[in-house]
Amino acid sequence: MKNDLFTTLKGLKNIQPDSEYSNNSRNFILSQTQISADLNTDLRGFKNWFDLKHSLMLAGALASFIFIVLIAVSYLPGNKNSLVAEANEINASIQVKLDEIGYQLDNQKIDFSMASNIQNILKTTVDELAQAQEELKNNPDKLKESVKKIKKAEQDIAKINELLQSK
Amino acid sequence: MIDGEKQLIQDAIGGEASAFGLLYDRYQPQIYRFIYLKVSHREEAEDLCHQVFLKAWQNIKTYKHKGFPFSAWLYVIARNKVIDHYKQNRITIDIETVHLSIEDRTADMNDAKQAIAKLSPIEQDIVIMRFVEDLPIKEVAKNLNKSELTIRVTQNRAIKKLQKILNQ
Repeated sequence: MKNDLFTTLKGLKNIQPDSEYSNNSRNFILSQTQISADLNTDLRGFKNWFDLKHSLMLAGALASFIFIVLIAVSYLPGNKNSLVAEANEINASIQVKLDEIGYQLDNQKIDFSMASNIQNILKTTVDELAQAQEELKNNPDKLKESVKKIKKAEQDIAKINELLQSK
Repeated sequence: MIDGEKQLIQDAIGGEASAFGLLYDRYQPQIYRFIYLKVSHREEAEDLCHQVFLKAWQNIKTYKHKGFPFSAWLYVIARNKVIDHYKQNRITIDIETVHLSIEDRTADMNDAKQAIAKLSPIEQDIVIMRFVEDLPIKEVAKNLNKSELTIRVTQNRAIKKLQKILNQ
C-alpha cells in the first residue's frame, strides 16, 4: 500500500498547466515593464486594465476614422450612398458595443484567461480596422472591402460582449 | 538548480526578459502543480500561478542569492499567494467538488488529490515537494526554511495521515 501511495503521488507530476494559458501568461509577464508589472500585481483577479482600455479606445478611434474617410470618399463620382449609410450604422453599433465593454470591464472582476481572450480578440479587431483604414487611404475605391472589414470587426467585438455576459 | 541558473538570474535582475522567460519555463509547471494541489481548482491555480511569476518579475531586482535555489523564492511567493487567496475568499475545501481534470485518469490519483487537501498546509507543502516533485530533503528544507529533521518528521507524519485517509 505504501509503495502504491508513492507511485500514485509521483503520478501527480503528470499534472501540467494548459499550454495556451502558459504561453499567454509568459508573453504577458515578459512584456511588462517593471512599473506596469507593479501596478498589475495589486489587482485581485488579474485584469490587464491598461492594455485592454487602450485597445478599446484604439478600436473606437479607428472605426470612427474609417467612417469619416468614407464620408469624404462618398463625394467622388459613383453612387456610394448605400455603402456610406451601411458604414454609418456599423460604426455606431461598434461605438455602442465598445462603450458596453468598457462599462463591463469597469464593473466586473475578470480573471487572467478571460482578459487574455479579450485582448486577443481586440488585437485582431484593431489589426482589421487598421488594414481597412490603410486600404481606403491608398485606394478610395475600395469602399466595399473596407465596409466588409468593419463589419467583421463589429462581429468580433460582439464576441467580447458575449464572453463578458456569459461570466 | 538548472545549469547556468546563476547567470540567468543575474541577467534577469539586469532586466533581460528572455532570461526570466527561461526561469519561467523551468519552474512554472512545478509552481502551478504546487498551487493546483493546494487550491484544487484549475482556473484559480492558473490565476495564482500567473500572479506568482508576475510578482517575481516585478521584484527580481530585490532577489539576492543566499545559497537557496531560485525555486525556494518562488515557493515562498506561491505559499503566500495561496494563504492570501484563502483569507480573502474564506474558502474551505469542499472535497466533493474538487475538480476532476484530464490528468485525473485514475481513481487513485483523484483520491490522492483529495487526501492531500486534508493535510495541514505544511504537510501539503512537504508531500508535494518530496513525493510529487521528487525534491531532495535538503532542497525542501531550504524551500521551506526548516531544518532537515523537521522535514523528515513532518513527512513521515503526513504519509501516515495519507495512508489512514486512503484506507478509510
